[in-house]
Amino acid sequence: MKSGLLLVPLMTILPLLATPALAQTTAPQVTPAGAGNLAGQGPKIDLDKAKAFKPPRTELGHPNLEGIWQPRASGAAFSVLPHEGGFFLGQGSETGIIEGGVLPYQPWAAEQVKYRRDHVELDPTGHCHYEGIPHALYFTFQIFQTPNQIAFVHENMHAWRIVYMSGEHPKDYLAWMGDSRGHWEGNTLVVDVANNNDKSVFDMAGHFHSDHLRVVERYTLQDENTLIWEATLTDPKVFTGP
Amino acid sequence: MKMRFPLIRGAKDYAIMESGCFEDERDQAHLKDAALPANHYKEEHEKEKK
Repeated sequence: MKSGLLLVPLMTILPLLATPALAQTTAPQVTPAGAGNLAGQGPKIDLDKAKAFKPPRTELGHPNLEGIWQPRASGAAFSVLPHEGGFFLGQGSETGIIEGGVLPYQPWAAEQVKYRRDHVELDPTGHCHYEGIPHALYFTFQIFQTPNQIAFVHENMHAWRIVYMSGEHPKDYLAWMGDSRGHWEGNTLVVDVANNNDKSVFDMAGHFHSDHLRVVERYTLQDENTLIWEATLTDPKVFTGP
Repeated sequence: MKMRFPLIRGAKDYAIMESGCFEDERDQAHLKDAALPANHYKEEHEKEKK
């Protein structure tokens, strides 16, 4: 199973690896994003600096987050936890993107993680499905702001989502990208992502969630060219706690 | 459980480029005879075999 372990993710990633070359032949100004950024560590997060920063604003007075954003997600597409380097990611990560470096899975769920790690053919990204939130954010995306909606257009998997700045989550509805409702807390865009299905996964290392996953994201500009993404995830069906 | 990471702004003359594959495309193109989970798109798979 070892060789199969890498087969499907590799097939998924190969088109990404081709992006820079394609960009050179068809559109020189297209960003060579994708896999080249997956393992990047990026600038250090400085919440005090973010608090003091006065962001550019839209006509409505909200922070202007529009633009193309390239994540420095410490190889989270491979594993959200600390991991060794290798494969297409190059360097490993001593930190991962999880605070404390632990995913508090319930015992049955921890067994499921092991099973999924040995059966990577179950990885939905290997079947070209949407990655969901947070997984889609490990790849480059563009933000467009209007007064009532904020749109995220992702390079990977042709994914997009609309963050509605009003209304409530629908009932009896599940989706790969969930349902996103946003509001502003000072200079921070807070997005509550609910209605997630249980098919998307956190990474290629078997880390999964249920349809009880709730993601509360916080987007804050640290300076003109650095955006901090933070999220609190809860899923009482698979985790022992917050 | 908390996650966090930074993102950097793309240059002003950048444009995003869609990449990846379309839903189900990978199954049809590459997983005809290998690694398909049981009953995963079984009907379509059987049609292709015929």
